[in-house]
Amino acid sequence: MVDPRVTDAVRGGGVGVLDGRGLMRLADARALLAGATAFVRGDDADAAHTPGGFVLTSDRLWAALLSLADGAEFVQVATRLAWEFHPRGFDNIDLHLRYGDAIVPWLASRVDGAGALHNQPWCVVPCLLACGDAAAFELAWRIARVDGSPLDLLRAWCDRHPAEAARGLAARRPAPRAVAHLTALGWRRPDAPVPPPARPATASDILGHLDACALELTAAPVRAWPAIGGTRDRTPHGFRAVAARAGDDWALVIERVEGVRAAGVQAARVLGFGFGPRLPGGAAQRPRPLRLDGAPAAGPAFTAWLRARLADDAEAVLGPPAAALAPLGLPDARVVAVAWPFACVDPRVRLPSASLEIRALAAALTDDAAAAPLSPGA
Amino acid sequence: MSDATILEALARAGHGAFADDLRAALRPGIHLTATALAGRPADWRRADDEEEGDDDDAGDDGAPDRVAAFDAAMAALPLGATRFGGLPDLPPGAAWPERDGVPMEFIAQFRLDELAGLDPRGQLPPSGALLFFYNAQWAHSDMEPDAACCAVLFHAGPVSELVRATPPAVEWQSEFSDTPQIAPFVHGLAAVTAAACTTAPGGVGPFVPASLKEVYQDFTADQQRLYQPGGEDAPQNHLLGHVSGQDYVDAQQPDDQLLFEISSDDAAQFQFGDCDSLYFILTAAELAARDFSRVRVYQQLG
Repeated sequence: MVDPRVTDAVRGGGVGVLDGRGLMRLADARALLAGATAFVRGDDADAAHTPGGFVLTSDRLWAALLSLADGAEFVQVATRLAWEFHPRGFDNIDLHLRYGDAIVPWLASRVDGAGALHNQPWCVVPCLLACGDAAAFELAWRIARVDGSPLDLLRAWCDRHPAEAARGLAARRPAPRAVAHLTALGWRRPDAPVPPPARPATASDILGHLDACALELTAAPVRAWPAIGGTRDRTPHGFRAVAARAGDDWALVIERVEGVRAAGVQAARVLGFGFGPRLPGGAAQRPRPLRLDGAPAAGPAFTAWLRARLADDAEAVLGPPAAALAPLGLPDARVVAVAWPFACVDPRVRLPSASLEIRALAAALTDDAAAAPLSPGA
Repeated sequence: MSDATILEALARAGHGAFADDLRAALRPGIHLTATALAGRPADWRRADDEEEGDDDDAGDDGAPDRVAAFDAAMAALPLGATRFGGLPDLPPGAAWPERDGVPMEFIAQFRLDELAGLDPRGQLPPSGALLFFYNAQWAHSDMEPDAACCAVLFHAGPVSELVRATPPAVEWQSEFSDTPQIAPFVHGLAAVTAAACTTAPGGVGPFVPASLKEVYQDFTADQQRLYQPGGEDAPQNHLLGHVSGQDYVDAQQPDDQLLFEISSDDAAQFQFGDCDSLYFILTAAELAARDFSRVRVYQQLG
């Protein structure tokens, strides 16, 4: 017998007499689907009023699709159909309940050439998230985005199936995307069999860590990557990056200078975004005040003053690079590289691992010979 | 409200025979009335790239500068002064409370030596300062009983030791919003005056006398409509006493004590989501021990 929920769905298709499996008779299912070219809702005029409710064409087709011999036959039939409508229930996983992970090849047919998954019918995403085998991971890995949805499908899949995800991601290292998701999975799911980070970290490990933060794959609600834009008191005046080492540990702090006032509740400040293995969840935000002696109180005059001071002598305003480390709990770290001005990346456009500047910082963090700062002021 | 007013309300509702039962359940409280000093310096989602109003710009275009007005009002406020909203004066060495890296909202601060004469049972510490923070992630203690949904800081020393805080500004992503927000949200600033009062238990809860259970909701409805200070819809902000709402979520146990009830008072431009009040509750034993580390907060009780 199949899962009772599947039987309920088959009954919802107006099937009065069930077979020994609790489904529509196989011959009936095959006959019904043989004449179908599309999964359609059907006209109300064709609907049947039964004691169980209003039975649409889609309900009958769904019952038939759930009643085939096995997953292979379902994939063959479902892949042939044009999907113009949906089964009942927004988070419908009937197909997975009936056929298990054997439906993955059909789910794969919903991915276009650009890697976009089309959630039509709307059970595609719930079913893919329900499938937990290696083939399902392969498919989740291949999907770049869900069409019309902000869902990060790979992240969601990893959270549902952490053990299989850890295996699949580990096999794809050192690809930065795999390192990013593997690292972040370890933060979100400490019970997942994620291999411990390499010590000392490789440049690829560092870039994956930064990509994970930029993609907001962390567990904490605090944003892990600085926004490159903003208005009013959030307008950025510049960024500085400070790379530091403490034994085998590394830290990168990206400082964002913001604000349009010299004092008060919205006083200009530097907001430090710290990254590294010592920080819980891999990242943390900490603000600290700027040195604004002699600055105009507010407005364009303040902004002009601040930007001129930053251009002339950034350290006079920001403090020495080491000052970026203490508020993030890294007082013993040794600064190995500083980038000012620093071209912070917008992860929506480009990930940190694709930035030459950040790659250089990662290289500096892994260079044991880096005894001297890479730029003045460190 | 006084004992006599509450008992008069009971009698007018036709239940005067139960006066002794109700009198035994009354608790003294400290009623708090707020007067606006400055509006909030910014709107909710300051991390948006979209422009909101322009009136919080730097004041160079002739528009009202609400940030400057807020800063001026804060600067005029003596260290340790009792207030709703604004910025806190933190105990020396204390960090701004946070949860999961997200700073909490500052709600209120009380200078306790000014309240001692209004606390006949001596429930509050006689001196020092008490500060209330609320978890900006909207969680409350009936939904997350083990989470840090609020923080109450107690400074036992002189208020001159307090430190006027600069708010952190942390970008975070609420599960209830598509756009990032800046935490902590800073509420408007209001001065507070205090007066002794008597409170009756809310309409549902463990403190309602058994003899009155059948008629209590009718009584409290009349009481609030006819006798509540400022009228039925006025903010019922108070320290100690009973919660004024009905406890449908079993927030309170018989050995609990309300520490602070605060409404969405316009004077401080408070905004607690779609809820009208916050209730900070602890056990009577915790209050007696001056242990504010386990205070719970509820957004609404019904």
